[in-house]
Amino acid sequence: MGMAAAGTGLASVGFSRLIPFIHQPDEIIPGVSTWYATSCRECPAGCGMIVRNRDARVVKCEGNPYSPVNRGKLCARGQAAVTGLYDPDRIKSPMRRTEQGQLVETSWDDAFASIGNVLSRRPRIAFLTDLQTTSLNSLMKAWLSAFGSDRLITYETINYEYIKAVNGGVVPSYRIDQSDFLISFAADFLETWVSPVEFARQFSVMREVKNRKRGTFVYVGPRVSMTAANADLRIILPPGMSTSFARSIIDGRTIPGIRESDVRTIAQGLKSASRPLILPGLDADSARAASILEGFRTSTLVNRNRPHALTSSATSSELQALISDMENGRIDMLVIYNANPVYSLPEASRFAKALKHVRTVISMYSVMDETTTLANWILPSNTPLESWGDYSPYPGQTNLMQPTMGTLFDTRQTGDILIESARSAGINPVRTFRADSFYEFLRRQWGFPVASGEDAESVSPEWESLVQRGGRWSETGAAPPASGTGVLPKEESSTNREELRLWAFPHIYFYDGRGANRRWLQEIPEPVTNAVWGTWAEIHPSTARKMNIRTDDMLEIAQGGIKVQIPAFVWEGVAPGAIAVPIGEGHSKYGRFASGTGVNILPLLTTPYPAVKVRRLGASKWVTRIRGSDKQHGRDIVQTVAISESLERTSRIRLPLPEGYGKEDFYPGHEYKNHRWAMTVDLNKCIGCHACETACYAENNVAVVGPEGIWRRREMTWLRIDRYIDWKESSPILFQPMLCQHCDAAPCEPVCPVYASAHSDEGLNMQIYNRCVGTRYCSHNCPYKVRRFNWFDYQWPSPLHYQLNPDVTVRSRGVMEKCTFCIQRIREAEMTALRENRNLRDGEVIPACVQTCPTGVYTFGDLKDPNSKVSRIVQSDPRAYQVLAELNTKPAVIYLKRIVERPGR
Amino acid sequence: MTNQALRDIDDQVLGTLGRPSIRYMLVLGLFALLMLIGVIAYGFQYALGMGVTGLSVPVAWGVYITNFVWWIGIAHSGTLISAILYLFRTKWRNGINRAAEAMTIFAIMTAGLFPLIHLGRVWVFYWLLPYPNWRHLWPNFKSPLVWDVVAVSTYFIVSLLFFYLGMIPDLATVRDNTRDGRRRRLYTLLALGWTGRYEQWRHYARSYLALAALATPLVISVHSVVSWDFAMSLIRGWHTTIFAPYFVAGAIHSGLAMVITLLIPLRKILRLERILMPYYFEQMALLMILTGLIVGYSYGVETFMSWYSADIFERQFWMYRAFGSWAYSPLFWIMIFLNVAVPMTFFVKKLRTNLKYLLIAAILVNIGMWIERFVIIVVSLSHDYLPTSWGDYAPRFVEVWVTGFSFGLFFFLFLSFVKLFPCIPMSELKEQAIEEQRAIQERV
Repeated sequence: MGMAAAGTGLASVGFSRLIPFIHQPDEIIPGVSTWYATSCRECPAGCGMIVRNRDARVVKCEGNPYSPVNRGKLCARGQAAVTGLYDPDRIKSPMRRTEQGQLVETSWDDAFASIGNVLSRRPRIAFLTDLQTTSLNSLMKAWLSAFGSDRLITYETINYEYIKAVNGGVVPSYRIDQSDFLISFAADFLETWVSPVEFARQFSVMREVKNRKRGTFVYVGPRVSMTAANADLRIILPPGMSTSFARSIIDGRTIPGIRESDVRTIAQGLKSASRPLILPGLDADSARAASILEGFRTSTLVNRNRPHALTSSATSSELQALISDMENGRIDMLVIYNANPVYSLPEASRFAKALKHVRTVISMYSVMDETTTLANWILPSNTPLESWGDYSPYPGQTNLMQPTMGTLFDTRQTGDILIESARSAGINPVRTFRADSFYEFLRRQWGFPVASGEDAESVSPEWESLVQRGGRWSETGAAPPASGTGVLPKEESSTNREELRLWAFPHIYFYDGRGANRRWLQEIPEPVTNAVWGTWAEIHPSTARKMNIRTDDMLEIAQGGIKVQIPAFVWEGVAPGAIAVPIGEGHSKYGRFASGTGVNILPLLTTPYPAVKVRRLGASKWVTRIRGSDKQHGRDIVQTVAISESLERTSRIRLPLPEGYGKEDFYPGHEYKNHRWAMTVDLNKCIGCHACETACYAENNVAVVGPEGIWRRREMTWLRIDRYIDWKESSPILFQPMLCQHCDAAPCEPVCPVYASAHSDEGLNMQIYNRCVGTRYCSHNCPYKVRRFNWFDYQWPSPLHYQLNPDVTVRSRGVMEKCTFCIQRIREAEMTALRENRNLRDGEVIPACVQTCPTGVYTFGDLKDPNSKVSRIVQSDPRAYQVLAELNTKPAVIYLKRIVERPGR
Repeated sequence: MTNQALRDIDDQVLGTLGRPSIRYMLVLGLFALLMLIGVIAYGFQYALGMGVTGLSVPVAWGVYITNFVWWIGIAHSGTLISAILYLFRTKWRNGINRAAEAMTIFAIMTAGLFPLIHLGRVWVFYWLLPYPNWRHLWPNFKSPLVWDVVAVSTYFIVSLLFFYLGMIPDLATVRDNTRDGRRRRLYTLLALGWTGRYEQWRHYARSYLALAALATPLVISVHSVVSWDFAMSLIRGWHTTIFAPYFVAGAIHSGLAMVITLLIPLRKILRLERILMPYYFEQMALLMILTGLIVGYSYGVETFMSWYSADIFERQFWMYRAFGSWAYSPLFWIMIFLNVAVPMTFFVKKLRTNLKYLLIAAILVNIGMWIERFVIIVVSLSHDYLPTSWGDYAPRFVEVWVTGFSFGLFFFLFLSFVKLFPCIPMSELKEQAIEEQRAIQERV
């Protein structure tokens, strides 16, 4: 879509007037960032977030270091949150539907007047919201009860009801880090399951080698997801078979297609483990399988007394009850907030029809989506980054949200919309809600009620410090309100192995579809298939052969009268007899990036993994993806070691320092007076989540090229996660972050005719944008192919251009670019140290990728400082090696070999 | 009698400068149209960016650089014929060297456009030149691209001087045989007042020899420098020492083919059958056997070295190029056939003296050499170190039409030149005729 914009000749961004402040606000210093703490609301995990505001504009999101859930890290979705704030397709003002059925803009006063009118007649109200906790949840309940209703339905597409069913009605907390034997039944805990950033950190602790041992991870499921790729052993079964498999572990029965040795290994491991942990997946079969094994070997690492906020999500039966009430005219007003049932319900069309029986439908969402477009009133809320509020993922842990910049459009806080509408209906908010605005309500909920006559100067310092920290986190607290428990459906008697079963999994970036309009998330490849900008259907080669299907063939998938067309992706990472398709795409209305991109398969999911009819159509359609070979071809690029071997260094490091030069070198090295920046990348910790890549997009103004650009291999990513597949290996999928290696003997430097590629006095390979004439020789001479060329003038449709980092040049067309080790951050740290008249401390310079990695893959520092963490790793870690070291480029990015069960090379 | 023979030479050549036929003008117009379409296509690229081409990472050089190397290569043969063969006192170069040298000039001009066309920011192309500036910025002399700038511009200047100097006596002849008017004024201006006095001929001969000596090493060095655009990188398929002789031989190979392609039709169109003897073309064909063998040897060396190096990147690359790509591997084998096998047929006397066959074979060799440049550039780039960045390339609309522009430009210039200026060096042929006459008389 970025490419389409380039073609339409959108005017380049420019400001015609710069107006300085007359009275400069104290806390805004031009050129200095202000950081505001809030909570990430891109998914229900509830990571704390801090947001960088430059000159009154938000430019970057990072994790809140104080939040115990994520401890300063954010996943790709969290990094992309800022593109939700600046979504070009945000609703800019309230809208109402005319008699003729058109949606027209209106004013808040008009809206409140009309809605207040309706409310004053005490209609029967139902409130459909996404997962909200604490303050907003309380206000919603209070608002409903002010109008005589208690129908608050927390609609999460992925509602965890089967997990609740096997865990006594709650979604428990887990301690993966303490486990020595972990089995996941299709629970993709590193991607989308419950709390991915938290579990990623815990997982990386579990996988460290201590006393020549580390925890074992087994994944059972229909698809090799990114989470499964990080397992020691994968059992890939068609959907619905996990329960039999769980039983076979206990009683040793054989399952066709599964190796007996694997079953024995798991049974043995489970029996002898001292701290086993079994994770239930989202579907009933996986949940049942996990509970069967849990009955066999109870885990101490599952805490049902500390339930996750997801416990409050409504079950499908509650939703069914709502729809049936709507159809029978028992609902007069439906208020919808952040929920999109017309997109995500399998019976979406039934819901859309039922909406017609509701007299007043109000949507408070900020983007026009499939449900919002059917509303009578659209009262756009502020996005989470513009809102006061809170979110409590676990009992006692509550993130406090605050606006991180002024509102962009004519939108209001969600809570304020509720309070104002109540006021217009004749209710006195101060009496009923004990607050005149949502901010006051929030303050009271947190125990800091706004005193009369309070102004900015007299705010309680305790409240201020809470807001600054971003929340209150303690070990104990109130449990989230329970919702329906959910019941495991009856076990299917037998699965017909001739049938093809559709396995729908949440897309790592789009989750249930809410992230589809974030263009970075469309552009960044899915970790195991490398697919972008669209949907794909994964099929095993043996299944594909029977139907003469090859990758990129267009398939028709039919179930229950609904047919969809999706291109095929043939690979061994899916069970034979299953078709794996991600959910979250195929919006018909959700902004320009999501609309028409991909296919929505949620309507087919009348049962969790329905049997489908698949037909190969004549046409073909590319699965838009990052292309290139999947295999290493014996080139030893991603190197692995076994646990036992990981204690000896076998690779020679050619140091990117003067001491690294010797007989093999024609020229002497570079002398570095102050620093030599370098980075280590621990491949053992890399789970392949692409959070670092997204952070780099955010920090460095990296352009989005759109699907056609990706197909032409013109992706602009400075940091990519290369993915190699070899099914014969015990770890068949290997991830490797590849970025500019800032080689000491950089081959890109001698070949640039104009010195646009030059070496800095601190070891960086610099790309000087305004000197580059675009011969592209440097890209050829880079063996790592990390240099990216601007093939067009890529666009940032307004208001996405507000996100551009003012510390980083926006490159024009015809110019080469690449990773700079975040030189702007290096400079900022150096300037700070200079001002404070001291040396830089180790760990003070944190590039964007290093900052956000949830598992701690990256270490960045000064190689000239022998005590820096980077130096110590390079000197002494036995797993250290350099990629393509034999080319003698002396890269300053040193990799640590991945520890696997049986290393390939 | 001698005078009559000399007069005959003059008449034949001067006869070519007559008014062009309608058909001639139409062909010229066609090439001009090709140029126009190419300019418009380029306009898209200038306005929108390099993205309108089929280029990407890893293959960021494609048809433009192929054209650059191909056209520059063609230029070398002209200088070989006019400079090197002059130093060797080869007789058969005397009839063809002007046309060959013209081919050189126009080929360099055409080639020289492509380094500009392929630039991402062509409007700052002059940063590759060492011009005085306030920031004390120099171009990077370590970069082979800057060597290119030096080599190609040197080659152009020397070739132009050599070409012009050699043409002065003939321009005077044309001047003396042209009636008054604009054309006579043009020739008068260009002939620089040549009257054919002894001192002028002495200076002429000395300068001609000096420039020939200057131009001779350029034949070897310029295309060696162009080959180092590739050989100085670390790409497998590029980084090999055979490249300099490989490219020079290939340049002469394609240049001779182009001379043949130009002159055989020219002979018919301009009715120069008695001046451009079939013997000349036979000699060029024999030379092409030599250059074809050197090119074949280079292919063999590359193959041998890929195996001998025991380098996994080198070996896998060669296998990919020869067998691994459904698109590029056939091109590789076609290239070997066209560049090596076709010229080997010139061993057969009947074939190499048949002008029709020579023309077809020469065109095939030209195509083969273009394919060779394409294979070298594109296929090496598409299959380098990290498998995740392997990728292919196919030219798109803009690149095709800009290539067409280069052909349009070259042929337009050449056909215009042939009608405006004497394309056969009359003075040299007359000199040769006088010497032969003297040799006969001495024997008698």
